[in-house]
Amino acid sequence: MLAYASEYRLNASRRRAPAGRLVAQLVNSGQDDHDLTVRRASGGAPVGSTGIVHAGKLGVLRLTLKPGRYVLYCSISDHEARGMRAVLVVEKRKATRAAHR
Amino acid sequence: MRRTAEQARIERLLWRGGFGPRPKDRQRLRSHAAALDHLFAPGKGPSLVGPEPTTKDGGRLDPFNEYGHDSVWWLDRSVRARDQLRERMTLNWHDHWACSNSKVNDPRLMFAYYKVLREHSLGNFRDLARAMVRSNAMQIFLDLVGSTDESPNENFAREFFELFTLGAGNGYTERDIRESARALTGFTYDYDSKSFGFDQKRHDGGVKRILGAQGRFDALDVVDRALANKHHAPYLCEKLWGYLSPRPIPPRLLKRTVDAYRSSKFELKPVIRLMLSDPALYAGIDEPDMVKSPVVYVAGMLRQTGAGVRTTDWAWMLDGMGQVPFYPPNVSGWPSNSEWLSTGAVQARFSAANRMIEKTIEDGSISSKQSADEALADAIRFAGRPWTSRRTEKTLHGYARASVAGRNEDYEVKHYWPERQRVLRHILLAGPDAQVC
Repeated sequence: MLAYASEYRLNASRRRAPAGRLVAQLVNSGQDDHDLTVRRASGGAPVGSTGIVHAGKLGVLRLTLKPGRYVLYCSISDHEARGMRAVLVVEKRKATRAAHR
Repeated sequence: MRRTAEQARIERLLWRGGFGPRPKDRQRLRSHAAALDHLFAPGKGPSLVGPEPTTKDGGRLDPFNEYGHDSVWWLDRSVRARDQLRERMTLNWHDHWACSNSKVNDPRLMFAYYKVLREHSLGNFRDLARAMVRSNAMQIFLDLVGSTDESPNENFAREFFELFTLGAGNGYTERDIRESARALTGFTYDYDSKSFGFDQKRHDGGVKRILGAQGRFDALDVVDRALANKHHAPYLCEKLWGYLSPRPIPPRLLKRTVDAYRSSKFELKPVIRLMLSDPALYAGIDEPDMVKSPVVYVAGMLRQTGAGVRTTDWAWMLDGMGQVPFYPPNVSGWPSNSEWLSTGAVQARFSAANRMIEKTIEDGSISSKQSADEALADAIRFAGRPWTSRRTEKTLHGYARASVAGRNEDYEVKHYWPERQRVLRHILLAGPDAQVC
């Protein structure tokens, strides 16, 4: 999955993904620092984050996700409240599908 | 490599109107007239010819979900397109109507933009311009979306006159920009649902005065106002020529192309055909002076050697050379000609050629019986028989002899003879002659 961060948008290439291994790349095409953090939509602690990705740089996050709704967001400052947020629905994996990017 | 005058003209044509010849093209296209016809009518068959592009580990490209795959996808089209002229013009229009994913942030929208460029690349400029106004990627890139009657954004209108249709300060005023910006209001984009639209309530439906005419103009009227301006045709023809030749367009050719463009009501094919047929395109045929852009250089190298795209590393290698498709540096597009050859960019070109010869010749694979002439012939064959100047040819001959002279011990033969082949191949692909066409 590829996501683009800018002020203050988070544009992800996928809204759905099969359960299991997910590789997410974050391109920071904005001017400020951003990150890509993932948490369950129902709440709780983040399940993973790229860490800070500086402007013009690429961050990579590798996760193993169970089925459910997740929120992708930028955890820096109030960026999520300003709009840097997207929803990812993780679905049960079909037996033959390979790991998705 | 020596060529006849006809071969030299064919090669120039295939480099300027495409991404260079494949070895088979040399056998197939025997005359300049045949090569010109082939560019304009490449015949029936698959639109892409050659092996599918892959990642380093043999996987498929995934341009929407993998960073860098979008630009490698474009590179592959340049390498494999049967319709070389259309593909080359698509790249040229990408420079002219520059739009970057660095702001759009959505490869799907950029692919739709590519498709529009390609569809109209040899068609009608009015259709192309109208399609660009409606291109969602362009609407984001130049802030057309969100431009309202209460707060019209002038970005698109300004670039439309300055870069896309008339030229800087060429027959328009600041008032024309402001009034056109009003005509261009009303486009909308909802970031959450990713849906584009047009909201009549946010459009300024009032009377505007644009380039000497008055009316309740809308977005597409701005296109017609600009194309009706007397400065448009010369500006566009001169700019198109700049994609084909680094030399100024001769006044007689400018007049012929402007006449053809106007009389055909903005058809591009007649104009491009006149330019590719004109003797001015073949000036300095033995001293090529047009620096290949990075995409042309890499795609040409892949075509010459018959190699397909086998790695997505081309994305960062093109970045090092200064030209990444889908990512022009700004709205005025990329630099041109000698500006491509900064110290860092030349180094990146050398590295790219290194990638081409990687693992093609292993130590111990060449016998000490191979003569200097045979070594050079082998390298020339590998590199797709590229043009070389007499001076380069002489230097390569000298190197082919001197590099292995006196090196007859087994361990020397094992390394230095293959090394000679590697160096010859590298110079043919990356030396000064390989940078121009």
